[in-house]
Amino acid sequence: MSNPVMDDLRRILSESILDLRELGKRKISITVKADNLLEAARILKEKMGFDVLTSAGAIDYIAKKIFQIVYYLWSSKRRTVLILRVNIPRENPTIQSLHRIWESADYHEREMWEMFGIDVQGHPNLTRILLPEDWSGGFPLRKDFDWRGGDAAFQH
Amino acid sequence: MLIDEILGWIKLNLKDLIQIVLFPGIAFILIFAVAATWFERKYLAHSMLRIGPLHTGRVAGWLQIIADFIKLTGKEVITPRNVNVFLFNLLPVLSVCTSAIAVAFIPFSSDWIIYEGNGISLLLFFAAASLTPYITLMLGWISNNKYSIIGAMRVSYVYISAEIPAFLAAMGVAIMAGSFSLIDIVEAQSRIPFLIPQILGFIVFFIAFLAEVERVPFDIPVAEQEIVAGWRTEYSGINFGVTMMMDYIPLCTWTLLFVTLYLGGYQGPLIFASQTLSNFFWILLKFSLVIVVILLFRSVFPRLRMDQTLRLTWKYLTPAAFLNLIITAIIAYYYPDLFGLIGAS
Amino acid sequence: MIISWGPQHPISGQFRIILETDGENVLKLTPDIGFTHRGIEKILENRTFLQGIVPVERLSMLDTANFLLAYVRAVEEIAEVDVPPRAKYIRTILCEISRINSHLYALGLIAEACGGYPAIFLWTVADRELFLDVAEMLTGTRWSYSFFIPGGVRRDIPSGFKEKVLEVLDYFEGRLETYRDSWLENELFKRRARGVGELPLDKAVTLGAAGPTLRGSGFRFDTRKDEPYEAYEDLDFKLVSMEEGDSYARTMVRYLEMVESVKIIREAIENIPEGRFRVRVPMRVPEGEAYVRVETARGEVGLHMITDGSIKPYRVKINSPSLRNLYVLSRMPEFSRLLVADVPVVLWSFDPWFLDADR
Repeated sequence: MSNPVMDDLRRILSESILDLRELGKRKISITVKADNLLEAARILKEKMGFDVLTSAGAIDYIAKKIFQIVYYLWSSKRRTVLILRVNIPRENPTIQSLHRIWESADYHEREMWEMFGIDVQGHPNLTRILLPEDWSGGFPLRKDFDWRGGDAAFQH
Repeated sequence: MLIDEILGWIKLNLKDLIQIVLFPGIAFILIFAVAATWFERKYLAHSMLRIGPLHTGRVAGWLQIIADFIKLTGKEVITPRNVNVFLFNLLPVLSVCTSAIAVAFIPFSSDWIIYEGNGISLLLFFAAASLTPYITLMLGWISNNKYSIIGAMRVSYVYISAEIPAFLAAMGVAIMAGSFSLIDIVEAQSRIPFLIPQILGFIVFFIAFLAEVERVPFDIPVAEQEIVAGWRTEYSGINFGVTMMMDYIPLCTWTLLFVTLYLGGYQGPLIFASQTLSNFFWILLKFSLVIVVILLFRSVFPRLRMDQTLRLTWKYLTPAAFLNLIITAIIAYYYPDLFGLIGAS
Repeated sequence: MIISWGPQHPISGQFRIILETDGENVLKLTPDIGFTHRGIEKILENRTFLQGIVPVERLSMLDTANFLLAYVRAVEEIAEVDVPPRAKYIRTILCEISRINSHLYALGLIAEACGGYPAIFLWTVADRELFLDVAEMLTGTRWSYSFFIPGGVRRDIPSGFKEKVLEVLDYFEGRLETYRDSWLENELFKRRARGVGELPLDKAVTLGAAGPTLRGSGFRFDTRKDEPYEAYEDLDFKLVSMEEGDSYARTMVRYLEMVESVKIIREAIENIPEGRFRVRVPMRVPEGEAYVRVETARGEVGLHMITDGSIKPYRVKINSPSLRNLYVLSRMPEFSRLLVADVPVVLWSFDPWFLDADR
């Protein structure tokens, strides 16, 4: 049984797709090329109707030396969750902000920036959101995060 | 010699001294503040399925309020940086004094009044009571705190907007009684209280004076959920205790005025013991009933918003008070006999 | 004027709003979160699947069962475990009790936020106590149940539980009417909440509102209906939504959801199937990933778990509904006129819980 959303995705985003699979009922995971992220995101919103970005995060694949940026999209019409992934190198990670496309990316990209140290380019207000303003203990959600650094950052 | 002179003076002015120090004066107001606080805490607690003060003082925790006050006196008085220390500490006391002055014009019996006011005691009451918001405004301003400034601004907005309808409604009563003297107003209600002929004014005055004494649903200037504690945010220790008194002193004086204007003041259907004592009994009974009703509101109503309050007072209460005044004036001019029917002048 | 509204404030919670105001008008509203950040996502990476249960519950102390359910279901989905139907029903009952707990608290908080009406707050807290007692009878604790484990639930239903639940529900239905009459029909509350903090439908959807906030704007979405989990497929309940999108509608949605929750519990407890209440789940979960959505009291929580075949998850990402709603709140002054006095009302009509926004 083929999923119509999957078929549409395969057709519209044909060239940028690296990986496309179904995670469960009404849940699709798609990996696109990092260079095509902005374009793919725009197509997903405008042509595919994924109008909500519920969250965004990252996964630190330290062995593969990549960060996987994960955007959790949802379509209010198709009632489908789409997990949009992009792989970027672990050295000097940068990514384009999707704030222009999905406004709700605001908080999640700030969190991504402070938790993983991923430079989100084009974000209007890239400031700390969860960590203390004077935090200097590194990036907590990276796999090589030094816990002692975190402790030291709290000993003012 | 000197002692004899002082004793002679005291003897001569004994009644005035008792009035000022004891009954309608300082002691009465303080006892009222304590009793009202106790009742409010106890009553609210029961409405919230709690018990409230229980152990202090054995019976229903009546000593708890005094214990709390003593605790407040023992606390550190923190004066914020960059404020005028003298004014910051003076103003709470001043606000309590000025708002307590108004009780001097309330007759508790035809011969038991601190100052008769040469026949214009109603106007003097308004003059004295209107001093309070200025001092509250200064209190909020001098604290150098944003919440305090917002609270102070709210005080001035609410007070002015409520003062006008209250005053206009009271003028209707003054026309009916044909006098500004509160004693004359009470005497004019010997047959029927002004509550009935002045029903519109009664409603207007009741709502407006609730707003003036900052009771629910008009406790906007000290709205805890919005601006922490309004104009009293920065006060601590005994200063805070004094500003807490400000919740109750205007409530006391304005309720007394309300009782005097609309509920027949010290007059009652029954006279027992002596004339003066029964007068005291009746005015205190009416006063307590009104206070209970006002305190009860706190467990029934949420708070109105500032703009809603202003809309209510300016758009509805003020025109209604004017209407009431005009109707009363027309009747007083063309059909003065109607007043005679109900016993007014 | 810039006002720092919180975190030391009578009703702000562990949270701060930076208000830019012109007199009483709010021009800009910037939520400042992070006061309760504990790094739960990181903590979970260093706990085994069973140890992770306790930190996950700390996401939301008011609504522990629903958040834990998301975690437990993610583990089960990766391990490909079929949970016995009896466990599903027990889970559903506890989730709905947890939802009622949370909604009752929210109803009390908005009464408190409207000011001068603390009675309702204490009434709701007192009624919440009954549900805590019921939960204690089932799980042994009042708040943080730690009752769901991968593969089922910890214990079977104790004897006398059904009678106790029905007794509480009978009483509670009467109380719900009291709340409607004395609070939701209160003229002054309507004045404070109607038309305040209006959230248009298109904004609610595109800015990513969740749960009762989304449904209060007229969008009919509930994960329990959209992607039924546990026993919700078998149970008959209505999807509650209101069209108005103001603070009153959001409060009303929560109230009506409590009515539905009562129905769900009644139906579920009558129809509990017999059988096992737990199956074994291996300590080591195979490599894989799962994205699980659960409707908590504050909206849909999405839990993305990635495993690498060890005894610990490789990464857990929690998409918190409160964080989504707080973003909508931060945009509120753009499409709705707010006064300083409306800020607490609108804030608690969104019912954010800063513990799960901060994680």
